Amino acid sequence: MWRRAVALTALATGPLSGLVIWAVIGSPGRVVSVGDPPAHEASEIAVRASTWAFTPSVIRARPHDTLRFAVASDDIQHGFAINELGINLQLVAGQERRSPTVTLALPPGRYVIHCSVFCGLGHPSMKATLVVGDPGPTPGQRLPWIASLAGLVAVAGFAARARARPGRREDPA
Amino acid sequence: MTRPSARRLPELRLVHPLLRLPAFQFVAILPTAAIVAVVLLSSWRGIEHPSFNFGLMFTWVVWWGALLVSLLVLGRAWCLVCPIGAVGEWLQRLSLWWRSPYTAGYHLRWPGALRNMWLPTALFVLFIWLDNGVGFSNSPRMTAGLIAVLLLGAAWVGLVFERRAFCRYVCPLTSFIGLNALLSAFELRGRDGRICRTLCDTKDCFRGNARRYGCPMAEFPGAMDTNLQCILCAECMRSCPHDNVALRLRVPGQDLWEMRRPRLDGAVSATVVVGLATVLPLMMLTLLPVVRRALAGALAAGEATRLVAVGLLFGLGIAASAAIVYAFSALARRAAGDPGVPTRLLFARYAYALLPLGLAKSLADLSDHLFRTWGVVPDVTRALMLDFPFNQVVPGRVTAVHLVPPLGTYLVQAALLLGGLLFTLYAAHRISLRLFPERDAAFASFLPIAGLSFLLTLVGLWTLAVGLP
Amino acid sequence: MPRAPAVVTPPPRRLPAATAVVTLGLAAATVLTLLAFLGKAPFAPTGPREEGTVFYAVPYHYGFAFYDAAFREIEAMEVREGDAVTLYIVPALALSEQTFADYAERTLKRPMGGLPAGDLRIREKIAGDLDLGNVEHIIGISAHPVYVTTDVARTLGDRGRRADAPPSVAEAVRRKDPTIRAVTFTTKKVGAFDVICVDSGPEGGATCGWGHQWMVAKGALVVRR
Repeated sequence: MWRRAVALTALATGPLSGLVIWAVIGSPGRVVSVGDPPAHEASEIAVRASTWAFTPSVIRARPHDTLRFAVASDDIQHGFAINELGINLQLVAGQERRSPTVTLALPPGRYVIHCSVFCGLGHPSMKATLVVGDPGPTPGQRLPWIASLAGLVAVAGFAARARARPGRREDPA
Repeated sequence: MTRPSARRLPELRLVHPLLRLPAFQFVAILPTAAIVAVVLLSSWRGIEHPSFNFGLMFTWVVWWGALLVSLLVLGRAWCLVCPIGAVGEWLQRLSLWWRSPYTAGYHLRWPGALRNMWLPTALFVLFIWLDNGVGFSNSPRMTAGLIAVLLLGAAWVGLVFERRAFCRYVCPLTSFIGLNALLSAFELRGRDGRICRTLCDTKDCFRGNARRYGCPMAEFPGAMDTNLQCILCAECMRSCPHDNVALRLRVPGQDLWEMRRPRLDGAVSATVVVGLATVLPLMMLTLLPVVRRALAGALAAGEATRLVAVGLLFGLGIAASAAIVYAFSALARRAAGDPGVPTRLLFARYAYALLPLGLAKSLADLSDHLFRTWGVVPDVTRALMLDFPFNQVVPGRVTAVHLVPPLGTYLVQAALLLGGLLFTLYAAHRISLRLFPERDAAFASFLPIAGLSFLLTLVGLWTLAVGLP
Repeated sequence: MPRAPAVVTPPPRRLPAATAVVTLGLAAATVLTLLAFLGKAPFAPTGPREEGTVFYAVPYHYGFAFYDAAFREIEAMEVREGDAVTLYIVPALALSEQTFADYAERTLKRPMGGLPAGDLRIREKIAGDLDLGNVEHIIGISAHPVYVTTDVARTLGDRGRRADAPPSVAEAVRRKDPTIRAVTFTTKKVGAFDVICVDSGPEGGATCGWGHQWMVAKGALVVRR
């Protein structure tokens, strides 16, 4: 009976888990790469902030690229901040703000773009990524996989232990 | 009520004399009443800058954070000290703590059709939707408005209806607090049910007597088996003529698997609470731009369209959460191979098991907020002290220092989520043993719920991982 | 254990008069609260009262200039404890292009952001901020209830300048320029207080761009006994 239950659970949980991960990291149209601007000009990256996400969520650039961000809020107050670049724009609905032009004098890596104005329930998740160069796998990319694996191990371990123990007699519901 | 299977953990007898003091709850409320008064004044009259307004920051950072932490340890401790519900009670009783021979108000019975969690759950969703649609947790004036509405609402309901009808059936937070209070390590219960059943004719704990009032939440402590509605006022302890009520330590979350009559409204409310913390942020992250684009064709662009889009997604998120939990409950029933157990019963039981995950996700969200904006607490305190209590002055520059870098924050969040997962697994396992006398069937029904718990944990882990360096 | 004797406790006596008083009181409180939030009650937050000692402050990128009621430039606003002060804020950007440039040149006279005084890159930073739309300031005075945000963008729109912009503070005040903001407050403490451009959010942030964090007029409000 329990083998069938494991199969049913895996059939239900597996695809849904894949869908969740894909929805967060892989849906198309949410990655933008900095192109080659005309000489002596900076690339301008348009970003929209809304409850609770930045679009695009991943911005790829090369080291020493010169760029600036044109950010607008689609709804309430948000912030657009990149600590390593000293950028912190306060956004009001309907207004576009431009950051100073910055040169990415940063080592290859992934840098957090975060919302710097508390905007509700999902504010902690309101982040995007600036990828400079080709940093390879970073701790931030590995951590959710490791944590997910830890969760899977926790579930499997708990289930194995629950199966093995004689268990208590509970009063019937 | 003493449970046959309860682990007998010690009573907190040292605290009992304090709980028996007639003015116990009033004295507990006084400090929070003073703070709420300052919060109200500073958010209504104070500087509108979000980093310098004490009322705003205290409400949405300090109070919210303390509330989440207190739920795990002390259950409905906030309700014990909340001045909002107390206002209606004082007006009704014409007394602050003593047993008054008189009463004001109309003492109407709360309508039968609303004697459930549907209204408070709907108000909770409305409150979250308004926050995300209109942003009032960023506005001191709107925060003041919210507190004023709650105060007046509690006063009116206390005047018109009996007991603490506002706290039980209206307060937007009652379902959230009550459900998470099931996880608490403390309980206030009758010691020996036989005394209540066979020796006590008067049921003073419910009806009150010449010396004390009965339970303001209209619970019968003699039969109460969960923390869901217990605000820890200890009125029952003071009124019981048999000294049959005690404050005890217990295994955290014991209510989740030991409640005798889990109700459907509570189960749905639990899925809403957990869904708002987990599923909804994922849907907003992935679907809001899509929904807004779709609506842009049908409705004019603007604030109203955005609010409709947010509202639609809220509805979708809540429906999706309930549907997922119900679907996995159906799967659990199928896995157990017991057609005699309806899916609805499994849903009504297992939904409660997910509460630890929801609280863990809320704590994870809070930790990010705290680590990034902890500096506002000294800033607003400084601003308030410079101009007490109106809080109208600028103290200087904002303290903008991230306490913990993003990776460190994520580690804390992941630890919280995994802790919540283990707690949920344990609760689901104990519930399965109650539902199915056969161990094999219990284990088989537990597995899909374990899968669901893992899925919700995954949602939390990945939505919090957005933008990690 | 012996059964406790059955005691019938009479319910509390209802007082209709008390109910009526509480009902009326609550109704009054509800109406007053509603009026207060609509801004119509007597204790609602009030705007500037245009009384007391008058000063003018001109925020520019990245500093302040102060004037007395007769439009004479002063180093600091000096008042006595307990005086009412009305401060009019006239954004430099609302004035003519030449006037704004004159104010901006004052920024070059001091070192800023690692650049020495007179470094022309400071001028480039100012131009860059204007180009980026970092045109507003949030004026605050430490330990005082002064927190005013300018709103020049609405008046200037996409044009960036007005052809008929007033050439001076006095002229802007005479014309009642729509960009002028006012705040009235009463001084309560003795000392010297800074006028600053306030951070715009809980994690810092600036509305005027690069030089925001150095936009501080130290001791610009002096309150004497």
